[in-house]
Amino acid sequence: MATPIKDVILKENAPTTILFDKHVEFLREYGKNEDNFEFGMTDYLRISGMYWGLTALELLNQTHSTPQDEIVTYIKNCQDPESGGIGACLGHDPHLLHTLSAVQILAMYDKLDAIDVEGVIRYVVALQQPDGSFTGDKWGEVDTRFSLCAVATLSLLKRLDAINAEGAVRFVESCMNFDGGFGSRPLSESHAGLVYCCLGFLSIMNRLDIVKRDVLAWWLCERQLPSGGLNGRPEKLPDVCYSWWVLSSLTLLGRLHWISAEQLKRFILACQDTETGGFADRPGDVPDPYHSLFALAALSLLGQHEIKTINPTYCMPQHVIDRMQLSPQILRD
Amino acid sequence: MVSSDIIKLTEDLEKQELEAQNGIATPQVYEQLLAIYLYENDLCNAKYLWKRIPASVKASTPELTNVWTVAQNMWKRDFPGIYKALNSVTWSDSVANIMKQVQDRVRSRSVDLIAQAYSSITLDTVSAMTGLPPDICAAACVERGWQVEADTRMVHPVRPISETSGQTSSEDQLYKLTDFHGRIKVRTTEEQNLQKHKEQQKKLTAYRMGMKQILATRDADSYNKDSLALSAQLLTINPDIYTLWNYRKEVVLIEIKKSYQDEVADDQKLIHFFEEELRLTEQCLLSNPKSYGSWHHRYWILNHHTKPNWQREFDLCNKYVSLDDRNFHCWDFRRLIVNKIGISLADEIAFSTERININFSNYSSWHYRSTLQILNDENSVANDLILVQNAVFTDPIDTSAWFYLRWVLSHPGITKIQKEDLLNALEQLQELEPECKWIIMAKCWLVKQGNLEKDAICRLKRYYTELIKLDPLREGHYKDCFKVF
Repeated sequence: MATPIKDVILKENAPTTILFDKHVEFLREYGKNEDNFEFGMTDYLRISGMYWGLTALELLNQTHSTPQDEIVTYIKNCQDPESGGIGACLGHDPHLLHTLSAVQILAMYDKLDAIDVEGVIRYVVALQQPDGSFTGDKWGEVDTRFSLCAVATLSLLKRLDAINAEGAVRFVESCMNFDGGFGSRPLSESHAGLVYCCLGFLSIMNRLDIVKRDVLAWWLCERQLPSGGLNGRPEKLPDVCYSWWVLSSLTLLGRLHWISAEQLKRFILACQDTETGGFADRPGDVPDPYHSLFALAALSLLGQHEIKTINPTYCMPQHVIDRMQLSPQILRD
Repeated sequence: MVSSDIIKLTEDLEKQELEAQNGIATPQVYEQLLAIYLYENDLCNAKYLWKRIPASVKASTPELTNVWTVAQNMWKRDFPGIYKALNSVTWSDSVANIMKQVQDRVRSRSVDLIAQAYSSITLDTVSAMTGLPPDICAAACVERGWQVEADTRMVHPVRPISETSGQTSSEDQLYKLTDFHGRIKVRTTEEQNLQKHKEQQKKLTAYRMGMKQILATRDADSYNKDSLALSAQLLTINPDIYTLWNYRKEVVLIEIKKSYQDEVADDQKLIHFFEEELRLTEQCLLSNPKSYGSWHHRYWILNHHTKPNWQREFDLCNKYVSLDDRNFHCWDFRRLIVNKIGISLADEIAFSTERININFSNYSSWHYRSTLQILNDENSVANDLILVQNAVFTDPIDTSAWFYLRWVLSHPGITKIQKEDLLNALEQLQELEPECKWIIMAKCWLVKQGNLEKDAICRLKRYYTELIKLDPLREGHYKDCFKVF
């Protein structure tokens, strides 16, 4: 009944250097043509999409070429005056995911006062439940992703005091599993994406002390496959976005050196599209801004010098976090 | 049959069923409709139809049960079962033609699946999945340009190059285009590009018009039936458009409010409404079982339902878990339902043992077991130690059970004798599997828990050196592990 290891084989002619200019072009062009099919059909995730693309461009030091005023106005128009939350695009409902993405973009541009900040705080506070958890919007879906969104948003707005912090930590703690990892709700299976969310949350709350550090770090380092790529759960295929979720988690735990940086870098670079630029989830697949951001962010954590330094907690450029005088917790020896 | 004929025939039959006297259609209508749903691989509708058919009709028409047997095997994806059910009976004239085409469709989907998913596969498996005897099957493979090795009986399928070559519907492709995972890049000609671009522009315009209409008719007190139908269509194509699920929840709330206001409470109408929502989520989950929005909508509806059938949900969940036993949404949903219908802990533990015995290497099953808090006394610790030990010894290369073993070993109730026995067993296993890093790692856990005398530290050093050699990716981890001594 032996199950073969699920993995990919990197081709010999796969790219081994970063195609800097191609990525800039890919990211800059992505949102320009409104009638592009893929772009047009994904309006329900627009603001998060903007965060992926714009952060990636900033990591490549290209923010000067983005239409900042236009972007700020667009975000402003996506804020719901009643609830204070921000929706994915004009006419779509407010949601915590897009509220955080909007705040991240505005923080990067140092334009947080363009929106109704009190409204955002009101929105986030209203989504906290009696058990400390957060729902994504008023329709009641609970998930640890939303715990991270809530505290990341509030801390960027310097209003972490507005929520029940103790309850919020207790809820995240209740999502810890036998393997030291975290899932989306209490007793849900560990998943690298949610591990990142919970560690990011605890890093902002300065409570990484509750983590079973080395049990979790071992589970995380076992995500590396022979191809060098990382998967999100045992027996799953590698995917470039897990390079970020796993790597940022290991960084927060002070255990980045528990995997092979060299092999991971090789995998990430092989996911580049040599024709169009951009990174795909796996070598040979179609590239997109989402995987491009997380590939570049991971390369930044691995010390790729052409890319600006990323902050592992917020997935934002470190210089922005420094300017805002935030210092989320990182465990070190 | 061309697709427009099928659509016409389906519509006719559905109409005949709806308009039947006393609500009971002729056996022929039921049979043909059921067969057509199978032809379209619309197993949900087949199931609902089967539930609707009165017992008396089922009893008087044994052939209906024969068609249903095919459907059941299709649910289970039991290919030999499907072909057996199709060919072990002589179909009457009313369905013979359709059942023949059901077989062709099933076979053609299997072939596509094999081509998409395998770079090599045994001839026997291909034969089972296509229902063709091995010799005919081998010839058919060669005809498709697949390589067949006569001596090893291995088949090497050729992956189709065109995106449109599969049996997937245009909606599936549309969905794939807006999902960022696992999209294989394909080469296309200029002409294909132009054609594709035209089709995409049409779809994009339709999507935008649809969204515009729905959002324009959104209102707190009433709703537009066309918009509601349109939102279902768009969600079937892409269940991640969260605003549309919200819109549908608002409509449900309007209906609930209306039913309160009715002088004569019309519970049936409301129940019908809830059931329609559940049907929609099921349809969305069939095409995208990982959609957060669909799962949440389903749970939200059930919580507002006046007569929620939790048992049915539980059965559905079992089915989904058997289709993909790593889908964490399914497991989470199961947990919610178990709480609702009050299934005993003992039953859930038995279920988890069953899942683990079906597949030792399923991490989700081990995780689920860990949540049942069973390590509460000596007996349960001993039982789980045996279970997990069996798993790692059966297939030491599989990773899942090792994580569980580490957890069991961290339990204070493990006795010294149990640890010594395990260590001895691991030594023997290592003789058979000298390259397996997991065995050495487990030995490290055990040695570290014992008396850390000089001899033990020497052993640990030897183990970690060996681990670095076998598993260089995690060299940093092993070095840190040893550093503490």
